[in-house]
Amino acid sequence: MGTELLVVGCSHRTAPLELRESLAFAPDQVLEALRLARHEKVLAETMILSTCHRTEFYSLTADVPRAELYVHEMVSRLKGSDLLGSGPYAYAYRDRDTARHLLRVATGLDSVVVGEVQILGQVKDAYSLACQGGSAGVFLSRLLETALRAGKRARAETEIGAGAVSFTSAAVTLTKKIFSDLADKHVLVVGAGEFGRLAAQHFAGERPAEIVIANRTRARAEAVAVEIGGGALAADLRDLESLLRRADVVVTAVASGHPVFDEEMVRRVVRERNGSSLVFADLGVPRNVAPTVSRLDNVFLYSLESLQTIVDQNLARRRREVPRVEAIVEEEIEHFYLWMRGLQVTPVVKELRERFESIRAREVEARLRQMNPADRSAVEALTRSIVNKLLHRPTTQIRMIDADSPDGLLRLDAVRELFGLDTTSADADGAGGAARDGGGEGLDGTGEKP
Amino acid sequence: MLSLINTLLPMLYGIAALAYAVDFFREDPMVMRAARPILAGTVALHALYLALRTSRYEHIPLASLYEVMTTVAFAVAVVYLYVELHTRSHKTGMFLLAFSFVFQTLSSAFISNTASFPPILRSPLFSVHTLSAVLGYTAFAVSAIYGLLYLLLYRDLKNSRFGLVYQRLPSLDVLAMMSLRAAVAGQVFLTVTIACGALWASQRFPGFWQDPKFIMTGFIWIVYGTGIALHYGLGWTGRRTIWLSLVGFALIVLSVMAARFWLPSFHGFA
Repeated sequence: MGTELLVVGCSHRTAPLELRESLAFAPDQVLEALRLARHEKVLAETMILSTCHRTEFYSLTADVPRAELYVHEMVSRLKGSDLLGSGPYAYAYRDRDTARHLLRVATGLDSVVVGEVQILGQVKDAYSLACQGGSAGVFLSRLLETALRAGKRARAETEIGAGAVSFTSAAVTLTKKIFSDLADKHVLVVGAGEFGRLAAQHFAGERPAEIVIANRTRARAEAVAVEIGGGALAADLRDLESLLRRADVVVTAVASGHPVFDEEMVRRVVRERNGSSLVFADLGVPRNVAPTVSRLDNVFLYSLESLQTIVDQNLARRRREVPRVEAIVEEEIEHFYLWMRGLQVTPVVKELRERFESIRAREVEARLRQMNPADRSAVEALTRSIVNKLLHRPTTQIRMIDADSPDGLLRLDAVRELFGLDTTSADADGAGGAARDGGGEGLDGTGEKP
Repeated sequence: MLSLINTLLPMLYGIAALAYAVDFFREDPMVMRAARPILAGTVALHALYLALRTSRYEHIPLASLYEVMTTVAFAVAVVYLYVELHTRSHKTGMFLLAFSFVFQTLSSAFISNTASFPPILRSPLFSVHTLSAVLGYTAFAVSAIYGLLYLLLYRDLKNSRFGLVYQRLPSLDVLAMMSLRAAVAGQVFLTVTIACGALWASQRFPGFWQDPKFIMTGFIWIVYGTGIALHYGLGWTGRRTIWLSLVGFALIVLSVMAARFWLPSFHGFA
């Protein structure tokens, strides 16, 4: 095969944040780059994955060195200089290594936080843009389908994405170890800064009975409450004790020189709670809740230090899953290359003939058991002749396809799909292959972009 | 047949408890897939054993301490299976099945195959009394086990220790709910036990209310009743109600031991 997969790019592993920020492509820049690539015909199929942690150009090309140079040129044109080539930041992988890299990205193996979930959506978004820009062909579509399936499998079959790996999600996890369901619980978030906003978002996902965001500047609390939605309320810090009386979970994240909740205040409130639990997640530095509060019965106090322990445990757990995810990646790459090997003229013709012959033989066998040998032989000859005549023109046309051109690959893939030929499935009738193909992740490019 | 099953049951409970223990410590999905069928098979075999025993000796297996033990082991395993199917959490299996294993092992080792059933005890009222007593005590035992697990998790959560107990056990409120529900079921059975027992004994043992076991059982009923009333009436939750359940269970153990070994009581036959 003359065409090869290629990825050129840089990521958090190779480039500093400043460079990644300068190199990031907004969606309209991605579309412009794709338009150029399509117009100048160096890259046959192209996808640009640009997030805050990476910018990568995936393409299918018949001339790898030229394509690699072309990506650098394109960056120069769109960004003013060849940022990729300005230092030892860029990497380039070819063929199977490209597929492996994309699958590692989609499964979260290449992420800053191993197993993070957002990357799968970002890969989908990048593919949607490629479809929108008209630069996603049969190869890229199949590769993306494979990558998205690997990403989903990694999350379903392993614990690569399990457990909280941020302070605020760890606070939710810990709270749920005390209250399994927050549907009848009241959450108080003290502080409407970044931590407070994130905590409110995470807790809102658990659909508690009420979320109150309290802040010194009430307007800021109101803004966060509106952003969270779902009936979140805003309050100021003037009557913290009465807010605490209603709460079952308190998250604090305010800059304060002294504790916002002291032991005496909490003791007064706890006395009225009849033994029901009260959880504090203190995200403040210095601490917002007096450490002595933890001595009170049924009060659970977690500082950043405790939450860090949870985060570290979960990261270690995710890292233990890496070999299993690597195995999924390799398995899916094998499927992809099995499919690629099938996109050649000779195997398609051979499989097409075998498929027709198997249908013919099965039908004849099922219906002509009662016939005498002479009649059977006549029917066999007749049906073979019909099949040969039916296949003559398609076979001739298939032999004329140029399997090295993207258009030719598209046509071969269409033949395979039309006649249910699927080398990635052991099922001769292609039912298993249909199921595999049916796992398409919305690859029509719709609905993923806002 | 009976003696073969009697020998097999401790082994099977041991294997099931071990499988749940391996799952608790290592979270091995292969072991877990095997553990539930092993437990279900063991419970089915145990049910057959109890049925055969009832049929052969013509009384429900509650006539001796060791008959009571096998029935309790069975009831705990059934309660656990129900909890597992109901909550889809299998992380408490090790603790409850260890209980069944110990009780069944003691029963299998010492049970007599010629247990006689005093004719005086053949009254239907007495059968209800003994059966509900066993079921009630089983429920209280389950309540106590979940109460202990609650305290273990509570301690770890208070001290920010996020080890196995934290990782494997269900949440505190689920453990509290399991403990409370078991205590409520136990209280219902205990009420039936006391009512039937009092009715039955009033015809045979004048002054039965002076019996030490009867007095202690009444006291146990008050302890559990207080805990349940405080929960539903005043909204008490958390450690205080768990402690009441544990105190109640300690009194049960004390009363069984007292009736059997230390105090003169017409309950001594059991």
